[in-house]
Amino acid sequence: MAVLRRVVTRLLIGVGVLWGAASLTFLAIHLVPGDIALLILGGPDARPTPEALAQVRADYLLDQPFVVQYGSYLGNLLQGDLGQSYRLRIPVSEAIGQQIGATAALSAAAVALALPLTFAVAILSAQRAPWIRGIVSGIEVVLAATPTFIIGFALLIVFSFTLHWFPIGGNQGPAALVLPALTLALAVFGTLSQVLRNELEDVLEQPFILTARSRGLRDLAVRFRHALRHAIIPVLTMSGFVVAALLGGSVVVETLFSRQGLGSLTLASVYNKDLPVIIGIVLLAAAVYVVVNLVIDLLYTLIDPKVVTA
Amino acid sequence: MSITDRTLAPVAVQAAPTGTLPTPAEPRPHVRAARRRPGLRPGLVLASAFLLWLAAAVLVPGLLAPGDPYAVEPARSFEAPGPQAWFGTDDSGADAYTRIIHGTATSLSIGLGATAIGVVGGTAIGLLAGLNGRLVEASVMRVLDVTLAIPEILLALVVIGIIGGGTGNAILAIGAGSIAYYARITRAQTHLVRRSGYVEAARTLGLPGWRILLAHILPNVLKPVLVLATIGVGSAIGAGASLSFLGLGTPPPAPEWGAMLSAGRNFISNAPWLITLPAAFLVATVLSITVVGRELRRRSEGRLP
Repeated sequence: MAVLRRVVTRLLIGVGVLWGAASLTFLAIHLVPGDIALLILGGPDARPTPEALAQVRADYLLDQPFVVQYGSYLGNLLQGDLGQSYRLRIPVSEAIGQQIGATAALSAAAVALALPLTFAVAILSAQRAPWIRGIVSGIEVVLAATPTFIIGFALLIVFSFTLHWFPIGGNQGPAALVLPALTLALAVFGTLSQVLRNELEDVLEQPFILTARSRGLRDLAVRFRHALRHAIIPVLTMSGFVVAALLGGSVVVETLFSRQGLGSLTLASVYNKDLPVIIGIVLLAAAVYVVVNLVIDLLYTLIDPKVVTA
Repeated sequence: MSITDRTLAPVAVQAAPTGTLPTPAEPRPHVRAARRRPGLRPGLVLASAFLLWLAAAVLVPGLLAPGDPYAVEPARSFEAPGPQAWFGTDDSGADAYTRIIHGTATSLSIGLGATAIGVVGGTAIGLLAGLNGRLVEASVMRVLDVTLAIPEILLALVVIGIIGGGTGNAILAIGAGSIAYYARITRAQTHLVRRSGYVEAARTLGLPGWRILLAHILPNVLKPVLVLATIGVGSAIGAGASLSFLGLGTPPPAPEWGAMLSAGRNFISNAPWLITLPAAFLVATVLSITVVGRELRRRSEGRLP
């Protein structure tokens, strides 16, 4: 029951976040000076006739007061209607639907690479000799500080242009997915591994670890069965942000590797000021954030039963 | 691991005579010392030296690279790095080293400008939330929660989608994307400061509210925010280069690092130095700022929210 109540509360907060994200972007777009009708007809160079402009203003309710526009926008959103793309002339949901598969595959592959790497490196390197920790933390700091597209460039130069192991880009086949996914995974690893290793270093000094060791448990078993469970909560919290941010990282990675997907759709929409698509992608990012954090919240209760009653 | 392991002995001895639960064992001193000093001393020196050198590149670029960053010499296109051109030449024969040095000012000012916008906006919003009633605070925090749900780079892209690209707009976009982060820190710190003894004392003395705010609250709130902002400058420089790489920041042919990387992408197979060297500069810069910023944070540890 407690779990159920928790889920419902979180869902309600999530709906609030989505409503807030929709309102903020709507407000930002309408507060900024600029003729939206002109944008819809193709920008200042299009030179539309006054009749066409008037027609568009009437169609998009642009001649109505702000409150009416906002109300109709929210009403449409509730029915799942994100509006019409200015540039593609198709519904926004369709434009996003066409691209979401490629980016979902990229993000899933990145997470599938990043999490095992993070856990393996952090668990094996925590509380080891100073030189091991020095090397590992050095690599983590470099990866976390390096902009994602530079990591991608490095992988491209080594594995595509020098070793010729992987294609330089495109969406064809699993081989083309390896380098883009690895790029995102390394960026995620740099951030998460620092958090997990720091936590593990603290936990491994606790008395209950000594108790576990005194029972004759081997080192690896102590790390996996006792230390990890205590160190994992901050990492989970952090992964919520990091996984939701993959949508942002995909913009850079899909450009660098010439891939189709939500990232390249975002970029094309920003170039062309295709505002409905931009709002749609922002809402999708917020929705991903809400769902990912809901899942993580449920994981907390699995890992630490005290969370539910607290 | 056997029961005679040396790490077990102190706890067993400690627990027996007092008859109470064993207090958490003091961490082994050498472990603590090693963790607090992660062996970054030479790194810190290197990072500071590199930052000083970058400052020279911003202030007197002509001294470090006397050439003209816009000079083209088509006959010398795609020269590999060598004594004639340290970092090679690009497709139009322009000297890459000269362009990198002269681009330092633009790349760094994107990072500093964006961070300044984030700190000023964030401090104002954070003070507003931290010093006013519960209703104001709750509404501000809920709006900040919403911006947390959207990745910073996507927030910057939304701003650019509305106001357009270019160096100035990129600074504005990255800065706007980071306001929420600084607002959170400021609010937390404001809560600590407003309950402190010196603010209480100032109030007892009957100082006017604006004076307490400017002379007592603001300086003490700002200190930790500025320490964290140091690290933020590094990531803002990276974000600026990313936007230029996407074609939304500084447009070519201006010598900005991200724009150079974007242009070099077309020649990655025959002139990889047009990628590797600007990239090395960018990474060295962000890394140096991170290392110095972390050191500042470490020194002010315990005084941060």
